[in-house]
Amino acid sequence: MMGRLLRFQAVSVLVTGGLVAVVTFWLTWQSLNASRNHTLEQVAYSVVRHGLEAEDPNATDPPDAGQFVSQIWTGDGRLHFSSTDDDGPPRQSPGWHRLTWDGTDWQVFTLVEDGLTIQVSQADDTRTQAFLRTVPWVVGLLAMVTLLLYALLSAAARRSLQPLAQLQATLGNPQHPAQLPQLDTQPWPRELAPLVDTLNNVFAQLTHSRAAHAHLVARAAHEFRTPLAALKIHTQLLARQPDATQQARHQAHLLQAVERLTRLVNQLLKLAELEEPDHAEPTDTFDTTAWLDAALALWQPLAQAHGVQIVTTLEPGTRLSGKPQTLHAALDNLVHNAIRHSPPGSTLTIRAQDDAGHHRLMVEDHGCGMAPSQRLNGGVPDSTAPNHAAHSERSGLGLAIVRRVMWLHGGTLSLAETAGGGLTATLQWPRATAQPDAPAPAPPPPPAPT
Amino acid sequence: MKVLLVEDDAAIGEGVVLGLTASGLTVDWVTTGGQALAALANPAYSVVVLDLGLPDMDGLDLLGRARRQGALPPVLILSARNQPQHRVAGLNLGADDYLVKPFDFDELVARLHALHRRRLPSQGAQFSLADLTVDPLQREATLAGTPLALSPKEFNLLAALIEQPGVVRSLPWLEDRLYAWGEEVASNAVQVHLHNLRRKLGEGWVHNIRGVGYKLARPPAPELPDD
Repeated sequence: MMGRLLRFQAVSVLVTGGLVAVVTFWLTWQSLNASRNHTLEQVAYSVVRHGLEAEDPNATDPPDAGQFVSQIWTGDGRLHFSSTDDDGPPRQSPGWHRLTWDGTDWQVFTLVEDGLTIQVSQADDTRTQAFLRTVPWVVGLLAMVTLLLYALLSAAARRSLQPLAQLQATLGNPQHPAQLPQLDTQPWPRELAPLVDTLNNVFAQLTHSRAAHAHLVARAAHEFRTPLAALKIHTQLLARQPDATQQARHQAHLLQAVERLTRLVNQLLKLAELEEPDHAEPTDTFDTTAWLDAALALWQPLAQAHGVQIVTTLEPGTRLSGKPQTLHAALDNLVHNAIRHSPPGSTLTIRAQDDAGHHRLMVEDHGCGMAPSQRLNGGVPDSTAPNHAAHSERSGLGLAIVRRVMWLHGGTLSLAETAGGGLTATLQWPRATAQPDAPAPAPPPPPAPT
Repeated sequence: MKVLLVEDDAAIGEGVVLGLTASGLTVDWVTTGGQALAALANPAYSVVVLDLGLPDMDGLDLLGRARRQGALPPVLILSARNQPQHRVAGLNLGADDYLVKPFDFDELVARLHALHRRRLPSQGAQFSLADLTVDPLQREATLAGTPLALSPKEFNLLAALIEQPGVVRSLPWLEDRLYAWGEEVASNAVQVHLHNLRRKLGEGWVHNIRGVGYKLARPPAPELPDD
């Protein structure tokens, strides 16, 4: 940046210096011509004032002899005087003239006064030589000014850019390699303050994002440990168990653990898919009843295995708008969580509402609920509490997916205690702008156990 | 040795119960903190295995409440959280050991035995009384160097008595130590096992304190024949 700035300054100074030189030369040339023309006039009028008698052929030549050619014609047209050995340029009519004589361009002033014609001429070569004598001085002076200007501008630029170098050094040498800096706003020049503020905002967002990412990875690792523990226990015991009935029990637990791990992997992949910047499932308006019925068919086996009954409560004609498969992913995680935490014999209720420009999907269970602090924090446990490991079984990848889906829809996830105990999760998002109606899309197929 | 397992995950809970039982331990399994507090009113447990992520309360809260409630057997926390601050928090709040999931089952069994031994006057890996030796981890008992052929219940009974020789154990206490919840227990089952144990050990080892219970004691030295 410094090099480019200095190159730009150098070119600017040179161009400016060149322009100044051209203008200076032009003005000098104009002034010289005006001065010389004035001299021609003065010489002519001097002859008029002093008359022919003043002309002394024996007088010594003035200092400017040879620079001018003076000629005088009498009234009868006879050349009375010429300052050159020959006749000089031909007589002209009164006034200013440019003519070529003897292979040279001349500037000529002719005056008629009292029957006499006085003509004073000067060759352009004489003027040019006089002008060229000034060139080295002007060019030298301009060069010096240019160099001085460049030096001053360079010093000023270096001084002005020094805070940027300090900023670069600060950013390039953080106190901890993994730590994003927070810059002090005080030592920077006023012009850099907005940049520093912007950088601090970006760093704060990145820090928050990294913390959220680290928390998610920790949660994922935590969730993987439980089925991995089951996998390890039952694998070890299976190898020692000679009884076929007991072996079958261990094998059943192994399969369950593998299915849980598969679900966790699918959740991670879904979350990664939702995090992609170009995730763009089209928005539809769809028949909620058909959408929920299709999803219910997927949830029923798990609900029956846990002895939980699923009830749906829909207002007639409810039509949801949004990204149907993405919304299904959110609801699927909420329902799975609710089934897992519901006691056998309990009822799980799914409600869909559409009013005041907002859609609402609610999943109510009568399970063990969630700690109030975690509930109010959108399901995220308070990581500062030493015992935050508890009550966090619902705070893993599932709720992370739900929160991401609501973010994509401009909506929110809220958690409340169900009347009588349990947890009610509510998804609320604004109705999408008018879109052509689409048939009820099928929810995505369940993950195939592998 | 009787273990109280507090674990809400069915797969892990059932696996631990099956594995510990196969290792000769008696296990009661509860899935909530409330059930655990109720179970801990029974003093028969030698060790508690505690999961932190319980549905109704934090496992560490349970630990604090149980400590305030009265004497608590050694507690081993079994958790998916493996960060140092979690281990430190658990140990500071009164846990005696911390094992991270997934774990090696033999390590769990060994740690439970170690925790149990720590509470006893004799802290060796084996319990001995005169020439009678019991190794709970290897599940071996020898008398004068000769291995004893004991059933699992007889071995557990002998291990319960030899932990603190001379201490009288009541029949309900012995029954609690030998049987887990849900096991069918005949009314005289413990006496039958005691009878068998007496027969295999020989006279003078198991003493009946009438109306109180039973204790293990060094048999009296045989009287020298009069010359």
